[in-house]
Order: sequence, then structure tokens, then C-alpha cells
Amino acid sequence: MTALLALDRLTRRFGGVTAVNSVSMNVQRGEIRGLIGPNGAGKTTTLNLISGLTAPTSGRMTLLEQDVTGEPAHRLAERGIRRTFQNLKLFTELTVLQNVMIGLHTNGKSGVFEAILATGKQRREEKMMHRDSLAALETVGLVDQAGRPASALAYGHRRLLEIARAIVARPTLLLLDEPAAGLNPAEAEALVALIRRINAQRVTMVLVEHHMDVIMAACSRITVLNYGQKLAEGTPAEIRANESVIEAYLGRAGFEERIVAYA
Amino acid sequence: MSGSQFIELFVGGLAIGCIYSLIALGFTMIIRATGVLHFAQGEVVMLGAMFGVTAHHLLPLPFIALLVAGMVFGGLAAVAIELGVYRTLRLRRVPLMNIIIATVGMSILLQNTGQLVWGSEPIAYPKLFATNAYSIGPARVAPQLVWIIVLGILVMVSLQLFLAFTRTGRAMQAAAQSPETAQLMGINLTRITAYTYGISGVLGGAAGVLLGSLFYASFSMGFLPAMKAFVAATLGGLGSIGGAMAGGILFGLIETFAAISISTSYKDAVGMILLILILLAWPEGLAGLIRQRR
Amino acid sequence: MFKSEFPSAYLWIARIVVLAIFIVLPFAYPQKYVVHIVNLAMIFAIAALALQLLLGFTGLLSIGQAAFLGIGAYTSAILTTTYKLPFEIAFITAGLLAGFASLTLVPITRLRGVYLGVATLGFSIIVHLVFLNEEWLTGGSFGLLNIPSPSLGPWILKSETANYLFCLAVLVAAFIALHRLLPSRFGRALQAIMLDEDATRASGINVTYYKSQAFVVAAVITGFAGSLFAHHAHYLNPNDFTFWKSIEVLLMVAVGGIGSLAGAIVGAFVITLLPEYLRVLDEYRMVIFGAMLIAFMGLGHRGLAGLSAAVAMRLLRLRPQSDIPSSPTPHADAVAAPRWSRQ
Ligand SMILES: Nc1ncnc2c1ncn2[C@@H]1O[C@H](COP(=O)(O)OP(=O)(O)OP(=O)(O)O)[C@@H](O)[C@H]1O
Ligand SMILES: [Mg+2]
Repeated sequence: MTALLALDRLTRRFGGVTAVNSVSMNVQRGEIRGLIGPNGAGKTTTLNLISGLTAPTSGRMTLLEQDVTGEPAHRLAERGIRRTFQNLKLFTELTVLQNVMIGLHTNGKSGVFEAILATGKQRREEKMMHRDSLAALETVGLVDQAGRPASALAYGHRRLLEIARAIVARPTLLLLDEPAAGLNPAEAEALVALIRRINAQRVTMVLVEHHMDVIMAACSRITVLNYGQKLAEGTPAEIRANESVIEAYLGRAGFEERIVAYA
Repeated sequence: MSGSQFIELFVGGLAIGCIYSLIALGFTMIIRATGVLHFAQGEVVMLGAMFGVTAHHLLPLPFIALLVAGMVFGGLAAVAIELGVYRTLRLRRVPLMNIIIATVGMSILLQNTGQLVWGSEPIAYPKLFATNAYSIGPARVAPQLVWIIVLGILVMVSLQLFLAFTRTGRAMQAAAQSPETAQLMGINLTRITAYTYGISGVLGGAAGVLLGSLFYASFSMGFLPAMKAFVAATLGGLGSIGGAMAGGILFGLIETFAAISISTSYKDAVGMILLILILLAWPEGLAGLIRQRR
Repeated sequence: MFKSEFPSAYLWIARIVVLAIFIVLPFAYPQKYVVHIVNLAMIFAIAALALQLLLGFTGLLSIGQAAFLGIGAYTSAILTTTYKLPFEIAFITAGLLAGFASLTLVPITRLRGVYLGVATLGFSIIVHLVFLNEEWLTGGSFGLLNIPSPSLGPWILKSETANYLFCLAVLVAAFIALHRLLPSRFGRALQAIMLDEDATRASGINVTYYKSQAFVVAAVITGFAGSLFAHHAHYLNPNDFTFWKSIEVLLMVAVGGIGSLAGAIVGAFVITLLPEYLRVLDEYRMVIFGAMLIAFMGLGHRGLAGLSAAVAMRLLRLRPQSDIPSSPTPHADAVAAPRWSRQ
């Protein structure tokens, strides 16, 4: 079986900084791939490359055996790559429901004329989007907040709303950038359950996370980045035992205890 | 185009370009420090010209004194506007867009006040220079133009020296780079903003006197040149001091040569088309080009 | 967003009352002048609504709307005078041609904030120069004379009142169209672009395409307004469409309240009617106008629309829904997008 997503020596430079340096990685259909590494290792940049928000300096990217290198973000989103953002990018002035409905944009067709004329097709489409968005909110547990402005949500709920917006169009590949950041342990545990449930609906995932408990609990395989380069790859058990991974984390305050706790 | 015609046009374009540069610098200083696009900058230019000519009527001073009077009063007017109006709006925490629109209101207010005070008729500026043209090679150039260039450059160089070597100047630079850090370092932002407006006013006043001496003074003289200067500042890359100076001079030259070689009626269009093309290539103006290279 | 915190029943009552007042107005105030001026304000209100779509709902600063107003006006005037075509065809063509002209702006939609503003301002200046200099087409600075009144089939709307009611109908249609557009798939995409471009892209929305579409829709509506303007004034002059007119349309939106359709209409009335009402002040009128403009800006981003909603809430003793946060708006950022100081 070939990989769902294949990165081949993907590189991205910003001026003098090589944020992602010749990273190759195969993500299989249905897996939850963990992507970890110290601060500034290039995790977010990798997700930006996969989602098309940043163009690669060199290298190739293949999705479902099609070369999609350099495709713009909206095309990749149409192909089923959806994501959340580390520093929360919600449409704060819109309601929770409207935020999710924007995630469904690609499932609709109607444009200016249909909206102005309020055609039957357009109204049916709106109804369908409404229903599917509520279902996505149900999945993450935010239905009762549907009518509130996104800016009125508590922090943990905002993270969940990002997930709802990303899954509503039933993506083939879901990229999560530190979804557990700022969550308390109970919330983090609920998040792991949610990630599993989404994965059970045949959604492949790449999960960037600093919370090791979340990574270890959710992922089937883990890729470790350090200074933009791939340092190691393997099952959680292999990563836990990997000398160079431990070394990379050692001395970096904050990560030390976490990785050692699992070592 | 003959060589002498070229030189004459070049000097003319350089002179008007220097005036644009002065106004553009005023825009740039303000936009850098506060994010405000100061639509009333043209009216500060007008006030400078009017104060200059009024000072001349009160007592016939040499041109330099006139220029200084225009600069001083332009500066004071700008400080008064900032402290009296814009600061009040900022204290009310209105969005930036509102302040920008308020500067349009200020422009309307000042222009019409100018009309009330100085009347609708253009006021002739006194002839202050020798009328014998200078010779540059085969070309004959009006002394007026040469002096505008010399004085304009003098003012711009003084600004650079001020920003680089005085405490206040350096504080202004720091505040423009990062307001938060500057405040942490104990820089009083209210005062710095007032200074910024003051200096833009001084530059505008200088531009006003020079522009007046080239044509005449009138209540509506400022708005159009100011819009062009703003375009020039954008051309150079908003917020970049060097960009504003280069943009202004470039714009003056383009406009002058376009009028001759393309058509007088479309000379303004040439500048605008160039502007749009430059922005398409470098969405943040010419300064973006230099930044890219680095 | 932009969903008023006002209960919608009240809102509908208010809208119907306002509409009724406007329908009755020409009969209650038979002075030709009043009807004429209010009619003009309605025409600009259509243009302001169009800019609201760009600025208030997509976050695109355009200081070039006078160009589309002028293209619509000249198209309609030339077709009905030189080519003697019926008004209906001229009106539709005016909108379409303005929309077509806005396609030239597609490349610049990727500019941000003030840079976009300056580029559209440049466009406005260029188009004005074309009006001024292409005498064979536009009559140059002499302008175009004897533009006929609008007509619908057999009816020629010759009287001031008939023309007025027609313009009112177009204004209502424009309002309804935009009101339906905002909560649609298209409208949501525009609002998403304003609020966060990256998240919009990642949701599968082609940002450049939608920005361009917003410009085209706004230009078509503004072109219609231009056509109405031509047949209302019966005379066109290039000076009606200088970049100052573009700034005026921007003032309308800002005074009324960025992000509010009703606000755009209110703003258009204030900016058009206020100088007329201030005529009693004679030579001081524009000074006072400028001062009032500054004072309006002290109201915050919600402008007069926000203010009147707040007053009405007070009067009706309604509490604002606590959910709606009074957070700082993104509109300021929309304009200040490039933080020059941070480069
Ligand atoms: N747009 C950009 N311009 C310049 N440098 C960038 C840009 N984006 C990222 N970088 C640099 O690339 C490197 C990798 O950043 P990235 O955000 O991918 O790290 P990360 O692994 O996600 O870190 P964190 O754990 O802090 O989120 C950093 O040195 C960062 O400064
Ligand atoms: Mg990151």
C-alpha cells in the first residue's frame, strides 16, 4: 500500500534560517502520526508546507500518488487537507456555527446570484451546511454554543471549535498543531478521546504536540524534528528509547522532565 | 529632446520632486509612528505657505526668514492639531480607521478656515530671487528652481542629522520601531507623537513656502500635491525615510518628463500607472525591493 | 457578526417604518428641491452600500469607487443620448461595464491595507483623467448635456417624484441583495477573508478569487448608482467623479458605521444632506462640516448606526445581549494591515 501523504526532501528557508531541512516522511492511510521536537524545530512550518500556506523552497509532496508540490492552500484544502492552528485563527466576530460553516465552503456551489435570488437550490444547500455543521459541533461537544460569537468562547472551547471547522468537510488528512496547548489534564484526556473518535471515521492525522501524554496515547508512529531536520521516526516505544531524541530534549527546560518521565 | 531642454526639465522636475519629498517625509514620519494616513498634511503645507506670505506682508524679510517662519508655524499648527484633536480621539480608543477619516475632516476644516482667513483668490508670492537665469552648460535655469533644490535638500539633511544625533530624534526612531519597547525604556509616547507631528508640520511648512514661491499661495493649494506626495511615499515604501525622499524626487521627475514626452493631460496618470505597476512588483514599495535584496 | 444585537422583530418594524416614511416623503414635501436632494442621497447610499461590502465585510479599503460611479454614469448617458438606446438597456449596461472595468483591479486585490487604498485612489485619478480628456466620448470638461429621464417601458419617469420612487426601489433592491448576500456561502467567505486570511485559505477558499468577485459585485452596484446619477442630474461633468468623490463615499461608510448596511445608508444621507442643511451657516458651513466629521469619528467604529442602535436600546429598555463582546474591531487592522513600524 502506498502512503497517503509523502514528503520527499521537503525544504523551506526563511532568509538565512532553514526552518525545514530536507525532511522526508510517509504518512499511511488511517494512521495518527505524531510530530514532535523542541521549540523552533520546524513543526509548524512542516504543517504550513503540507497545507500549502507556505511554499517549499525545494522538495516534493505527493498526496494519494498525485504530485501536489507548490499547490496553493485552497486547492489542497479542496483535496481534503484541513488543519488547525497553534495560535488559534478563528473568525472571532462570527458565530460558532458560522465558523464551522466556512469549513464547509468546498462542499457548496452557490454563489452571488443564487444568494441574491434565494433560489431553492441555495436554500437547500444552506440547510445542508447548517445540519452538517451542527453535527460537527456535536462531535466536539459545542452544539450548545452554536449561536454565540466565537470570541465569547472559553480558551479550551476555541481549540475545539478549530477542530470542528477542520473536520466538518470530512477531510482525508487532518493536521493538528498543538491542540492540547493550554488545556488542563482532564480536557487533554477528552481531547485524546476526540482524536481517536475522529480517526475512527477514517481520517488520517498529523499531530503536533508538546504534551507527551497526548502524543504517546494517541499516535501510532512518531516523527521527531530537530533544527528543521528529521532526527528519528518510529513507534512510541522506539522513540522513547531513542538516545538521540533524549539528548535533543535534554537541557531544554520543560521538555526534559516530560520525555524522561516516559523514557 | 535637446540637451539643454533635458537639463531644464531635469532641474524643474528635481525642484518639484524636492517639494514632494518634503511632504512625503511628513506622511512617512506620521504613518511610521502612529499608523495614521494624515490626509490633512496638504493643509499643513497650505498653512506654511500662508504664514510665510503673511510674515512677508508684516515685514519684508529675506527669503530664509520667510522659510523659517513657514516651518515654525507649520510645526506649531501640526502639534496643535495632534494634541487638540487626534490625541483626544486616541484617548477615546477609537479604531485607527476612524482617526484616518477624522484627518479627512481636519483637511476639510483647515482648507475652509484658510479660505475664510486668506480669501479665495490666489495670493502672489513675492519675487525673492534674482530673475537672471543661471547657465548650466547650454541650458538656462531659473534661480528659483535651484534654490528650491538647495533648500529642500538642506531641510532633509537636517532631518536626518536630527534623527541620528539628537536624543529626541533617536527616541523617535526607537518609538517608531517598537512602541512597546520604547515605552519600557521610559520614552514618553505622547510627547514623541507630538514631536512627530511637529516635525511633519515643519517639513510641510517648508514645502508650503517653497511651493508658494514657485506658483502662488491659495487655500486649496495643498491637497493635490499632498496626495501626489503620498503616492510618492507609497512608491518609496510607506514608513521608510529614504523611500519617501527617493519616491518624492522620482515622482517629480516622472511627472515632469511625462508631461513633455507623453501628454500634459495625462501626466498625472503616468505617475499613477507607474505606482500601480511598482506596487504589483513589490507590494510594499521600493523599500521592499531593498529589503528583499538584503 | 454584524448581526445586530437588536431583536429582529424591532428591526423589521423599524425598516418598514423608515421605508414608509421615504415613500410618503415626496408627497408630504412637494418642494422639488427637497425631493431632488434626498434622491441624490439615495443614489449615493447605493454606492455606499457597495463600498460597505468591500470595506465593512471583506476588509478591502477602496478609495476608487468614484471611478465606477463615473463609468456607470457616462455609459448610461452616452447610450441614451448619442445612441438613443432605451434607459433599461443603458442602466443594465452601466452596471455591467463598471463591473467589467473592475476586472482591471484584479491584480491589485493582493495588495493590503493602505497600499490597496492608494492603488485604487490611483485608479480613480486615471479614470477621471479619461473622462476629462476624451472629449469625443465624454464631452470633456463641457460635460454631457440633455440626458433624458429614466423610463420603464412605456412610462417615462419625468417628474421628480417618479424618478425618486424609482431610485428608492433600486436602493431597496440593493439593500435586500446585500442583506441576503452576507449570510450566504459567498458572504461568509468574504467575512472570513476579512477576519483571517490564512484560516480562510486553509478552509478551501480562493482568497484572490473572492476578493476580485467582491470588487466586481461592488462595481456593478456602483455602476447602477452611476446610471441613476446621470439620469437624475441630466448633466454630467468630469468633476463629479474626481478622487474626492471616492473619498466622500468612504466618508459615508465611516460616518454611518463600518460593517453595517443601514449605517452606509445613514452615512450617505449625512454626508450628502449635512452640507445642504448647513447652508444657513453660509461661509462657515464647510468648517462646521469638517468639525462634525471629526466629532462623528469619536463615536467609535460603529458610527452613527451603532449610536442610534444604542439609543434605541435605551429607549426600548432592552439589555444588550451579554454575549456580544465589545472587543476592538478588526476593521482598524484591515486598514492598518501592514504594520510598517514592525518591519
Ligand atoms: N514566516 C517566517 N519567517 C521567518 N522565519 C520563520 C517563519 N516561520 C518560521 N520561522 C522560523 O523557522 C523556525 C521554525 O519555526 P516553527 O514555527 O516551524 O517551529 P515549531 O517547531 O513549530 O516551534 P514551536 O514549538 O515553538 O511551535 C524558527 O526558527 C522560526 O523562527
Ligand atoms: Mg509551532
